[in-house]
Amino acid sequence: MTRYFEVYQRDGAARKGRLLLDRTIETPCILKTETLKDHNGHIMDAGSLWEMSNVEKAGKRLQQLRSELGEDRLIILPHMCLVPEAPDIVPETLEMLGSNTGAIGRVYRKGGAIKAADMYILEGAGVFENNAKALMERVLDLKESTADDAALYLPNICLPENLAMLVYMGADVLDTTKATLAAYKDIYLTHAGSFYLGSLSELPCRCSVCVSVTLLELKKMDRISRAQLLEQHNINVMEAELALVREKISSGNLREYVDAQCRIRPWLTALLRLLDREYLYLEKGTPIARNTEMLANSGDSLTRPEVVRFARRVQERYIPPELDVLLLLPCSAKKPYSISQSHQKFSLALGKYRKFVHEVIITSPLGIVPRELELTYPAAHYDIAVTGNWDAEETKWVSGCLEDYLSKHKYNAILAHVDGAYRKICEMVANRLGLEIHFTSTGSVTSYESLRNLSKTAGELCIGRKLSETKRKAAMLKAIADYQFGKGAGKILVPDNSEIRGPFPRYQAFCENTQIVTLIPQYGTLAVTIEGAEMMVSHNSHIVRIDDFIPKGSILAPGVLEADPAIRQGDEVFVVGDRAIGVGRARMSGKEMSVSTKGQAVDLRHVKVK
Amino acid sequence: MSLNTTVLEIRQRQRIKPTPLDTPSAVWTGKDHVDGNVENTLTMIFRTSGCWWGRVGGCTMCGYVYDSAHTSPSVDDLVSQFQKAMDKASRFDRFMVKIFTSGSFLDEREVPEDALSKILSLLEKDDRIFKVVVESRPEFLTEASMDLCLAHLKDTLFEVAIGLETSSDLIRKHSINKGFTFRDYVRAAKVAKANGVAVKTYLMLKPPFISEQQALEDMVVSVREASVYSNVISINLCNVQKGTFIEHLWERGEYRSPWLWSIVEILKRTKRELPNVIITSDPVGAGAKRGPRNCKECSGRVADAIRAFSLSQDLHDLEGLECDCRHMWEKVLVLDDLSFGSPILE
Repeated sequence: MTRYFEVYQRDGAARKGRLLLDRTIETPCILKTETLKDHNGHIMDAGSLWEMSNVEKAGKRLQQLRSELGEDRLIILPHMCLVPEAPDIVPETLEMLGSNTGAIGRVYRKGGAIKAADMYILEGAGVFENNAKALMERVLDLKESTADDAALYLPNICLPENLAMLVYMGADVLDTTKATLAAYKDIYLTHAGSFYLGSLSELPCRCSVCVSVTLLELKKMDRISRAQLLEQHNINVMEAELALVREKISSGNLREYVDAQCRIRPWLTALLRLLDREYLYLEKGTPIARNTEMLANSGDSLTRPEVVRFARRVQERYIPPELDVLLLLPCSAKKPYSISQSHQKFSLALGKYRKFVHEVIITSPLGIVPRELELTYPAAHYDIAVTGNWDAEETKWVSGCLEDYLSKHKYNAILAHVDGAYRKICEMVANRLGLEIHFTSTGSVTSYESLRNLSKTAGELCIGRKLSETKRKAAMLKAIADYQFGKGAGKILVPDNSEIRGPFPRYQAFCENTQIVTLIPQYGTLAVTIEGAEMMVSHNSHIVRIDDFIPKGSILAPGVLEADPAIRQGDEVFVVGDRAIGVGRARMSGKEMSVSTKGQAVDLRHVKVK
Repeated sequence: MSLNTTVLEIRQRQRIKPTPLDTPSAVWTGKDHVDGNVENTLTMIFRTSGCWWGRVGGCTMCGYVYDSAHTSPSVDDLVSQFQKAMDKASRFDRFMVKIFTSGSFLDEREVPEDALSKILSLLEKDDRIFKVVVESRPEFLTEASMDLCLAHLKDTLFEVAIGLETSSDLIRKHSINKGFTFRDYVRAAKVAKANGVAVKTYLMLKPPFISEQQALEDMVVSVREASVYSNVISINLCNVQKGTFIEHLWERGEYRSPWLWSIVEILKRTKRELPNVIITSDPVGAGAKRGPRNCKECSGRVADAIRAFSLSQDLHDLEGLECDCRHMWEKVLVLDDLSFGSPILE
């Protein structure tokens, strides 16, 4: 419950927001630590019980500060900080201290009482620098115990090298403590690690400090002047990194940046991997689709939430069209696959037999992509470092996805037009499941001979059911609907009598001349019309319930009574109230909509008054 | 879980080696400021059954409990310990004796009445000894125990030392787990005073959880408040002793001993405010990673100045102590107050 903090953009657990105090502070932000004692600052620490010695005094101090500072400056409530290993001995009366009005911050202690606040400070965060597991557990514990719309402050831990990761993990507020102390130890910080000033042969930075002084001058200075300059440089570097990270959140590729940046320290790399194991924590804040590239530059891309979500949804939601022959194909660099030269050649080679085959593409890091989902994020958006050599983890992951698929879905015949690592994967899975796979490539998949062989084998095996062009298009929309809204949605939005209009990929589904859905090519998701929304209400997914008002433009979080927790940012949602039904795009997750007191929940596209 | 339970659990994991019962834990000689003069002192630590409070949990910083004996020494054992300790003072013709156990000398369970009587009468008989100081928790400072001691110590000055640690009940309870209150201390000090016995107060700079600045201010206030009842105040600098809760924290990067600059500042401020109070500090373990320290360059030098001041009570001994790390300490004072539960370890 907060009036003083607002989140307006999310990317995984990272977010951009604003502390709405006497001055608006954009988050993530770095506090100059000393200013917490400054009566003219925007955020002020009311102090510690250790120095005030009793709760009554602490209460008076709080009252006095509030009347002095006003409501729109954030006061960190009187605390009695322990260290993480200490038993919980904070007097309950202290935890009861609060402020009926005005912005407040609370020190959060694991297992302590949980009271509302605009900002939580993780007690002892600084102890966990270099301890990925402990830090992550503490942060996740805090996040699970407190409201989504409160800011998270991790004190005494931030350095330029770890800033991106801390924000990626969910930090909104950081401070300059470590940067200042480093300066007083002659340590020169960069985002690529720290250096003893004495060991440098030049200053690897062009910030205002570093262009104003030479290394030699710096070394010759007296200690205090040098410390002050170094402190300013260290903070400059951190501020620059912060600005970059904010940009990365906006552009939706913080993950790629963190994937690279975390290599600076083993504990940060460990943190990336540990966070990936907390799939739901990252996934719930990951938008359903982006219109930017998703780069898979490292082995850790196999576990990033977008990849795992895609694979899980294919496993749990995807229903293949009714065909008897499966064709496994390799992925292509160009996306969507079907416009690539290689896939065009496959299509040409299949010719009239294409109607009989169901195409599934094998790829790293996504595992398998059914042709119907080739447009859907991130299938048409990823790029991967290609060497031709697949590592063991990649092979295991992709073959696992294929094995899951082939054990669920049965075909009369399986063709695989693949070579190299793809072929090895197919052979491994065929062996494990006791399936026969007809390999049609005789070398390079695009060689004349291979393509001829594909054509010939398809001719021999392609008997049985086939799919008309219209049905093929409908199957694509159905598959996307299931992927997006869950099993069964495809049948509702794209019933058997649907008519599909528009050129690839701008398909639109009509039902008795009423438009129901449109495929949005840049995301590979469906936009639903109000008529489609009405049909979807019974499916009871992606529903946002509002009170009896007629919404216009957008819906703010406080206006939401309840929202499907499966809703992700960017999802198509159905707004249902007593007086109106609407359809729009989610700006936050369903859980956030339900509990947040600030922020835009849904961008409405269509509203219909009941 | 309470702080006491946590401390007790750590205590129970320690192994106490069997040791001879007729030999003291430690004996050393030194110099102390005593009533305006610098005097020789003989310090003896008796090996007793140990501090009763330490056995049921005890203080977060105290590792002395492991100096106690595995079984209660007999009266003869204790007298023998005393005699062995006295051998160390053979070259002195005038000295003061400071008696500690790892607990309370006045606790009958540690030092039975017969042993106490015997030891005090031996002290009284020795003309070289002009003053005796014994340490005890306040609960053993009673009319009865004073009567007993004073029955033997007639011509020898007598002083009782109490480990108050801080005048803040909050810190003593929740950071130190000391098990008594400021009121208990005041009562004990008044009993001593009423019997003409001097009181020495031990304070503790920077027990766990509190910041450098809070620790510093706590000592300034504590000296002021203790000086009402005691005109000799000795400030111990918290160090990391084996088998303690503090060691448990220190191993995890959750504790740092105080800066020597802090005690320098405390001595300056309190001595200026209370020139007639004897304020001393023995920077045990100064410069070590488990001890109070500044940077590597100045720790030894600053510790020496603190020792010199403790003997002379002359503030000039604390002047001209400069080092680059002082700037860092000044920053730490500000930032450690705002690190919210992760002590600044530099």
